[in-house]
Amino acid sequence: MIIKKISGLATVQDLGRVGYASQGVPRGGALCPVLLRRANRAVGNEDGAACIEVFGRLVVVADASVGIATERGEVVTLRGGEEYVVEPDAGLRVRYLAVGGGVAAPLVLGSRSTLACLTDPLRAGSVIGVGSGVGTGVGVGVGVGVGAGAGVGIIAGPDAQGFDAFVSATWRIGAASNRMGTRLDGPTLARATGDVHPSSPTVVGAIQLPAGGSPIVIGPDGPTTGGYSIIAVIARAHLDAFHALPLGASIAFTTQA
Amino acid sequence: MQRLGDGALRMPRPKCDDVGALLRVVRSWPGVVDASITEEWLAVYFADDVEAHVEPSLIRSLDALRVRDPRTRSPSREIEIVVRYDGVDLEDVARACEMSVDRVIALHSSASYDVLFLGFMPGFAYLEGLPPELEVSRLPSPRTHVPQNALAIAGHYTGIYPFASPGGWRLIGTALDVVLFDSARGAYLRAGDRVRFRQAR
Repeated sequence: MIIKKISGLATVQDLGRVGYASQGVPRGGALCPVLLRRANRAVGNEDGAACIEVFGRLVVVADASVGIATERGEVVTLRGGEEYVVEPDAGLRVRYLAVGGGVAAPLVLGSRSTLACLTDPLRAGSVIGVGSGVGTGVGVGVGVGVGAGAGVGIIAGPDAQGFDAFVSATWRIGAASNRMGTRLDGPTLARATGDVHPSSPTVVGAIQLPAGGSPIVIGPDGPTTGGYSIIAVIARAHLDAFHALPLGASIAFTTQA
Repeated sequence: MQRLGDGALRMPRPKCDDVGALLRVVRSWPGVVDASITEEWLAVYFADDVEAHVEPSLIRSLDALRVRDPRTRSPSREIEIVVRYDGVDLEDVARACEMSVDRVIALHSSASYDVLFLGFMPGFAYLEGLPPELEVSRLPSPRTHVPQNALAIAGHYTGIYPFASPGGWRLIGTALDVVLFDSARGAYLRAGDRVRFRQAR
């Protein structure tokens, strides 16, 4: 399969690399693992097979017959020369394209996910090798809802000053968001007093409050350490739903014990 | 012990001079899949389906690491890195420290440094041991482009950027002939290593 056109960002992602945080290596992996799994299951891959993660619009062209699916779960068999377009979905920030057998990117520290500083994102002309996994192509036909429900659950962080103001406000997913972090647009929160913190380990889903007062939620490619206040952390069960929200979506948080 | 959500915990960094052993021990705790340290904190990360929890007895067991144990100690490496002192901030640093550029170079290259932790980006090591006369603040606003292998100082740290990136440290030189992060073996410098810089001739 060959990348014909990208408007936005497309990278190879699986479930990320775990075990290298002390070397400064972010976990990486799919922004929304539940959507990646859904695409993989549709084509009969293992849950964690590497897929193409798409922000924006992607056009691929098959160079040989290949079974593909997105997180929508319908399997399509492309014949050599046929094109397939992953269109932006107004309800999702990110989409996934799975190929039967998995994307055959090199394994780096246990993961095929693009390690941002080491490997460039996919571009027009990139050749997508197909892995040796068996793609059986059984459509799963599941919806794409990822279930945020009444609000995204957060747990108070170690620097909880400002937590009450944060949780009572309504936020929007900021346009400057990327895989490193999701910006939250909303009221400017008063900075905690004297909030120069010594560098602390971070975690995906940590809500940091930098000097400007606009919160940033650490994403899978975010730094492993940072000196900003960590006012809260998104509960793991709600992280997919949070990361699935499209840019501009409004979001409310609820306190979780 | 503080929660970082429901999948991670952090605690004050144990006073332990064998960081490699410390990381190995905490990674072996039930449910723990990864660990990370900074100068002041140690964090442990749990498998996706495991609630973050560490038995107090395990935390107490870290006290034993305060005494060096030759059986668990990973060999602390002594590493020499050849550098060219050609950073764009070198003269500003000399001015801020009220000394000559030659004196900055002499001080920086005569000290020996300990890798305290890695963070910010893959392979970026925070080195402790900077002579206090060389302590300078970060840039008021970060540069958008710091070149790969730039040698820099900020606060009481020195470090080398493994990749080109934005960055707010003061650039004093360039590390030569060293790959600080590679896809096969990961980070070149590890917490606990000792580093010296030698000026390229």
